[in-house]
Amino acid sequence: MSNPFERYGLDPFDGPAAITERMRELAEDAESEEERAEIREAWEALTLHPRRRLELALEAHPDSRPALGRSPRPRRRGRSADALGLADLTALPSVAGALGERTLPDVSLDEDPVLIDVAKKGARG
Amino acid sequence: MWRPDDQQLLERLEERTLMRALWRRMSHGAPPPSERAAGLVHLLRQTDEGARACERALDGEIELLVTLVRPASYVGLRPPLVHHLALWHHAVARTLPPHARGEAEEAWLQALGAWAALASESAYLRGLAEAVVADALPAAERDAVAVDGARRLLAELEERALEGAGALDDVTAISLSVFARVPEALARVEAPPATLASEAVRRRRHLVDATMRPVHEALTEAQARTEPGEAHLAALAAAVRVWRFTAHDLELERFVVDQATPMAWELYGHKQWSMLRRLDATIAPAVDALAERVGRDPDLFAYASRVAQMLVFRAELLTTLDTQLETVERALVLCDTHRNGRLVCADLLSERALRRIETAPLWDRKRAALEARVDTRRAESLFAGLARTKRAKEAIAREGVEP
Amino acid sequence: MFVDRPVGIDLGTTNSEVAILDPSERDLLVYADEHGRKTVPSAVCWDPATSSLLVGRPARMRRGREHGPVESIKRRMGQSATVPVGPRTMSPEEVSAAILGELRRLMLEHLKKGAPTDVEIRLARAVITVPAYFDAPQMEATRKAGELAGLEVLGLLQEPTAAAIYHSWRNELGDGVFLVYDLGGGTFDVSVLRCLGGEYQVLAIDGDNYLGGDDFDRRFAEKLRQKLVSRGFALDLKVRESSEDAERFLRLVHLAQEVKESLSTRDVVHVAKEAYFTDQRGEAVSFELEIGRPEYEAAIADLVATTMRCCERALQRAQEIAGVALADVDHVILVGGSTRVPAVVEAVKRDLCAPSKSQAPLQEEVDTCVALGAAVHAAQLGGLRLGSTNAEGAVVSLLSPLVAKKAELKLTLEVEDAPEGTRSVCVADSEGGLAEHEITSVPSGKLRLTIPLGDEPEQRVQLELWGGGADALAILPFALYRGDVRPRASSLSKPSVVAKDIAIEVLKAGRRERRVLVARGTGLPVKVDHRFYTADQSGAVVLRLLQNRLPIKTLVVSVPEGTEVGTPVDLELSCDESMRLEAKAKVAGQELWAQIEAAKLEAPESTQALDRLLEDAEGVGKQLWGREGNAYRRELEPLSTSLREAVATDPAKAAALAARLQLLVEEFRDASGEGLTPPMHRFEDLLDRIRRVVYRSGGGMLGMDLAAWEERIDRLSRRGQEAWDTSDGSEWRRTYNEAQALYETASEQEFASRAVDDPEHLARRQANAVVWASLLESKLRDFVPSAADEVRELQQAERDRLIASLHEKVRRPLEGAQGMPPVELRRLLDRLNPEMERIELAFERLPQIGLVAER
Repeated sequence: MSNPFERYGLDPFDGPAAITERMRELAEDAESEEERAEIREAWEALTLHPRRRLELALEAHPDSRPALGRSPRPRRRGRSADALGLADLTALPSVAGALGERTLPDVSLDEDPVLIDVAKKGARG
Repeated sequence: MWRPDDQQLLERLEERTLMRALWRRMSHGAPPPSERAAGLVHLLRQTDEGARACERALDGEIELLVTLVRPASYVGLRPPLVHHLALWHHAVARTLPPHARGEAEEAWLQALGAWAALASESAYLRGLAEAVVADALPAAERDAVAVDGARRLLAELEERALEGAGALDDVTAISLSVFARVPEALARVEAPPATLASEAVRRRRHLVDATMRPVHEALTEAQARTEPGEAHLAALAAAVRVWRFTAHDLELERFVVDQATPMAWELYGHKQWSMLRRLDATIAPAVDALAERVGRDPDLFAYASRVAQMLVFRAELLTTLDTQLETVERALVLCDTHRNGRLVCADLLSERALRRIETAPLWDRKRAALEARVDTRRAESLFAGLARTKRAKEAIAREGVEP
Repeated sequence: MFVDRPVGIDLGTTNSEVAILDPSERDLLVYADEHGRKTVPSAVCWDPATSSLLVGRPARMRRGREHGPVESIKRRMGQSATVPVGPRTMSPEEVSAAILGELRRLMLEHLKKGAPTDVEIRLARAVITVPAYFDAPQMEATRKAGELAGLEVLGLLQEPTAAAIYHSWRNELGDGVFLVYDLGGGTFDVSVLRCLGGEYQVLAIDGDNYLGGDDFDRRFAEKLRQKLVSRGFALDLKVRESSEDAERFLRLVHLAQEVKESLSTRDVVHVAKEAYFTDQRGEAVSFELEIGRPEYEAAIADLVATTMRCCERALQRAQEIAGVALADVDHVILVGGSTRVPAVVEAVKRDLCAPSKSQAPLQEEVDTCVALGAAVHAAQLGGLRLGSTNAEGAVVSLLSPLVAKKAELKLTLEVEDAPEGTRSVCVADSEGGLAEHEITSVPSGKLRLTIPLGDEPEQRVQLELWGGGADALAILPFALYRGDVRPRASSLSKPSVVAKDIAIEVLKAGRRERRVLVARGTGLPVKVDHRFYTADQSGAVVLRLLQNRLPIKTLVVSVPEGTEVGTPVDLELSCDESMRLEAKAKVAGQELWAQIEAAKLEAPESTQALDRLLEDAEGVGKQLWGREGNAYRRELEPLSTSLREAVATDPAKAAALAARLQLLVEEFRDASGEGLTPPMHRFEDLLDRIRRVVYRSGGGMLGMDLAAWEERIDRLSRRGQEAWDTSDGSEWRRTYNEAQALYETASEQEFASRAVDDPEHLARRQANAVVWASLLESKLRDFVPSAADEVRELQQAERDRLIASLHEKVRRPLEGAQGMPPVELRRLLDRLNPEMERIELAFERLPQIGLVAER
């Protein structure tokens, strides 16, 4: 992932000032000189010539994904953590079916790190 | 309680998962691209066919989705989808290992097609460019950069090949082959940028020149140091390899013939027949291809003499009279005034005339002499005064036939 | 304890300055003497009374006296010349080191005033500024001068960048495009820089190392001389040959300087001098003159115009690399004493400010802004070093600013030395620890601590080094500050850049070309890797590095003879902040490392040699045509004009310009002799031969009529011409080969019935072979090998091999061919031709021996 917008999670629609601010933070937190040099190089590529910035923006995937929805409200205190199962998250029969009976080509939803994370948070809360 | 937001999250997760599965299927296990590439799956899923393909993929059957990301035509696709496809195939092409030549070529061609298709989506591109650089670039330059994806891809393809040009490896082979197939990619697009095809031709020429540079250097060094030998042959073999990579480039055929001619003459002068034979074997495919072209295209007749000479060398190395004659006749078809061709042909015809008489049974000698006369007369018309022709004519006369 | 804060030094042609940034970052201190004078003259002389060197103002005061001062030494940096200083001779580096040493001494004394007695102030580190357009040898000489003066040179910073850093610091300009116009005593620089959120991007630099206020003075001194000659004084001065004449001219230069300074504030100046010096007849030169500003401005108009051309080039480059045009420039900054000349200010306002966003040029601290900016940069690079002076041996560098706006400060520090057993470093105030970090090794590498700050503007804290015990092993007090943080670059910025392309000579399509390894404008430090390939089997690889066209180093790596053509040659080139170059080459298992001690400029010295060089330069120009000719003349004309002027007025400048001219001539002399192969005349000759064959045939041949043949030959001719004009080696070879093939095809008709051993034809071939062999031998004997020792040896050995081969394989057999039967003679000639082709080809490749090829 060598496109600096994608690599450093930058929004191509942000201007050079915002890019500089973010890259400076990254450079300050860099673990090594090599990493810092890479960040510097990316910063130059993104800010030196607007033509290059535009080229790099065109070479980054447009964000066509739907927006992330609101996260669920925190569960009320007092309810037992044990009571939470994946079924709580998958009230839709088709989704429950997807989890129970089908497997995806390579990764099942049970192993999906985000879902696991959500489940863990739910379990704690 | 299942909310629409939860559904949205689930779809987003599914699309990411599908994107990664698709990537694994197409990229031979390279690290996955940015998560934003999942937007490609999301856009595909908007159509009935795409939704079906995603369903199937979620069931573990990915191939339909693979087919959808390799459209036979880019006409009518939505601009953001074309943009995703361009980036997707471009990324696949960059990450595929060079030994997966077929897939890599396909990915480059898909990417090229998609970029070329995107170039005509001016409203989409202008909106994007304005959001990124606002007025930091003059509008004309901004628009030019936005539509230039296909050209940048061609430049990258050339650049990649140049890095490995010395090694004549698969990377070079892929680039040369993709350049040769550019028209195929552009056929998938309604209105490709006007100068793209000529740009591809120009870059291909440049790449072929650069690829040949190390071959040329090795050959020049060999020529400056020693008589034709192994180093010369190795360089010519490399040239023929590049010629194959390029799907038979005319300039390379000419190069091979230009370089081989003085070598062959020197080997001939030193009577180094086995080396001359190896030289011929090394370059024969390129020589034959050029011979075929010269015979077909009058514009190439400048090379008639050189190609004819290479065929004459070959004829002299062959071991049967028939094949020798057949080869030298090919040379004369290309260049009927070719002195050496005429001389060798005349000599071979005279030899055939002699053999006709010598090998004929006594009762059939007359008929043989009549046939031999046809050969000697043609021999005389090609090159008069050869000793062997004279002997053949005497043999004909001995059979009571007017030579 | 001691504190050590690095200083910024502007080592100028006429004057030098030194400055330091206070750790609170509220004040920038520049050294000033008791009269408030902030500049120290860049002058050194011998004091016979004390038998020691005098530096600065005391030295300048000895102008016109015996053992007068050495001045403008900056113009000689990087040259191999030495200058007499009293009984000694000193290199330019040594003279500069004396100036730097004096600046350090003055600053240290200045800082000690009012410093607490228990704190030792050290000045061991510095950033020294250099003209943006200095060459590598000049940079190298400057760095060496710093080291000779006992300074650790943290970096060399380009003067315009330093000025921009100062102005953005001073005026809190965090964003904007700056054009810095820096006209010093001896050099002119222009830089276009962009400041983005406090970070710097150097977009372009340009300039002229031999154009400055000195040139204004010398130009006007020459005018004054002519005026005095017209009044009957014997002043036909030969400044190169006679030291007395040189001294007379110098007096006129000083007078011109006075006139320049007076005309900066007045429109007319009245000069009256009584027995100012004696002329060549020994008569006292006394005169009165009235000089108006227009007269002065007319005299220097072309010099000012030259600076504007540099600005145009810089802006063009800025446009290329960043899309920045003059209209985008926010601030035009004037730097250097010579920008006080009204004609300069007017030109800048008219040509630079009016078309940009800058209303008027920023003209604050023109003499000291470079040193001040260097001080800001020095603080950024070196931070503040604290250490104990007792046996504890603790040394800690605080590398980030000690001031923050918010209630916490992120401090980066490095423990460079620490008492045995140190396990952690802690920042504490009187109430206890504020932040702590474990130490696993010493030096510790960079450590980050986040320290909470109170509301007071200054907070006394201390650095404590702790072991396992109850007491700290070392305590180093310092202060942290709460307040505005001025724009300052972080590690994202690379303020020092490579001024001119660093390149290597390579072979491309059979031609020698310069391949840029590090492009001008690249930020320092930089490290680049390049892969090249061997192009011959000479047993040596020659890596010839150049800056622009100045050869800076030739590396020769021996490889086993017969190493395959196309063997990779890996070259790693690195360049640190002070332009110190290192090269590492790896080929066929051999490795070579070299520190690049830039070659010093060697130039013809005598007037006759200079005249010869100028003549030679004209001669080379006459042999060049087309694009190459134009490029040559574009560079030659201004250079030779300046050189002719400098011969009469400025020997040091003349030497530098002559060296530059010599390199220009050498490069283009090669270009004229070495173009594409085969040469153009052989191509033209070939086309003529085709035409003759076609006409002899009566026009109709091979199915084409005369018009079709002519059309075809013209097409080939046009293609060849275009390939030649664009130096397209591949296309040229293709076209030539096609012409050759066409000739062969066309000739077949004539040859179709010719007997194989026609004696007349054989005799002609034999005679041609004899002529060819003797021509080849004289070409080989006349070959002029390279000036570089290592390469010369290689070329001579190859040349000798070729001569021996010519004798053995060609000339001897030819001598024995008399009276040979036709068949044998034909066979011999058939064998000799390829031999001669081979030797000829090897001869053409002689100048390229060992060079690497580029893909």
